[in-house]
Amino acid sequence: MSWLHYLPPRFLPAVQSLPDPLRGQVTEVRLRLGKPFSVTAGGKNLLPDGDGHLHTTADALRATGEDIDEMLARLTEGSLYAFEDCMANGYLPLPDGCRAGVAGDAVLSPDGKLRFRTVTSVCLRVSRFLPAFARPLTDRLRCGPPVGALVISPPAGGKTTFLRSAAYLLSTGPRPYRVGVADERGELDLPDGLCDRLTGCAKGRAIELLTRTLSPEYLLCDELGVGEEAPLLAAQNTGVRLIASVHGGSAEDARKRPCARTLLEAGLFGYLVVLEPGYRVKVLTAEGETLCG
Amino acid sequence: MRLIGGLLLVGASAACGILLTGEAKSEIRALESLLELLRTLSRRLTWGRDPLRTLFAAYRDPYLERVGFLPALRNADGRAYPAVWVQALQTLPLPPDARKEAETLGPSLGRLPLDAQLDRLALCIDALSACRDAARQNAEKNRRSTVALWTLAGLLAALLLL
Repeated sequence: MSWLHYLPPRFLPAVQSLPDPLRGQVTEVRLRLGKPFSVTAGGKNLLPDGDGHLHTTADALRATGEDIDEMLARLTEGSLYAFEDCMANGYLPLPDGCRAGVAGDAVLSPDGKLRFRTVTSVCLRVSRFLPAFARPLTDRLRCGPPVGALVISPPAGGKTTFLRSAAYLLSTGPRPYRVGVADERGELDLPDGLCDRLTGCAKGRAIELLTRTLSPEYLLCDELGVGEEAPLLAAQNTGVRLIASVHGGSAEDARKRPCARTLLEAGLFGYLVVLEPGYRVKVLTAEGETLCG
Repeated sequence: MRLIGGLLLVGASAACGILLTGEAKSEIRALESLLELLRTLSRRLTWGRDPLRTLFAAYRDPYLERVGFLPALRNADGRAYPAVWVQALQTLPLPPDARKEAETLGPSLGRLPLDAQLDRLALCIDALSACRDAARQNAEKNRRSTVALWTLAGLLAALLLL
């Protein structure tokens, strides 16, 4: 668990004292100023202490301002200025594919940048690498027509883990593809493969740059948002296939979102992938016919 | 023979005077190296925004290496940079006013947004530059008077002995 060093030492025993199967399933760790410290593992929010006991919100371990400051110093390598732009977007990218979300009292500075007067919550999201997770999709992409796919799940439902697996499976093996990854938040690091990753750059710009300069066969990007469809539509007829993710509880939910609807209507995606709790994968055609899961 | 002995005594006294001004020289050397480091930090923050760990690892200055200043900054061992900075400053022979100025940078190091960090660095660079200029002037004045004093003392001793 390489991410443990991001935590202030006071909170380490609380995580380390979790029972073995739970400890391996930790997906999030949260510090809140003066509020309960929580660990999300196995889909449950747990409030552990250093003695291996689980508490209620009334008597849980709580973070102080010094704890939050120390965790921020650890997350930013003691160099807050280096992460200022990411902080303005509410997150801190971490070198091992993990990510920290931050919240607090935000102020808009005269130069238009969002800054935090006080950070009151830090959420460390633990990255996972499940190499075979995206196989139900990538097997179809390898055998079937050259189409794109839209990955749908609620927040923290495994979209990034799925995309990381898809990038890995497509860019490795006996017939690897050239995969471009528009990785705005630095979460899609891969151990191997024909993968070109552009980090720290807004998705629209990254997609444009990757398409023009790196001629990918597949282009991956995480969490499409409002106003980000234009560069994707521009990349539509370049022969690049797109695998993107969007928040939603079901295919119907995704179709209601303007960004996803525009792209689906434009025919960018041949498959819809719905992620269900427990890392279950459901693959559908763009028309909604279930293929597996 | 007496004359040669007397001349040797005067020469030795003058040499002592010159040696005693060496401390001021080392202070100026430390200040100049520290100022160059801060200027480099300021440039690299403006253009690259590299974290301090990367900057200190890549920075090269034989003097700061030799006195242990850079090694102290690189061996943070999980401690926050404000504390590491103050500890590293102990390795430099700085004049008291310059040390005070350099120490005031510590609490802000790595804890501010970029523009505020650059402003703080600029303030520290200005203050240390002023300290360096004052130290140079003092050193020149002191060098002349110290050498003159020691030479005179040697001359007096030689005259007494003769």
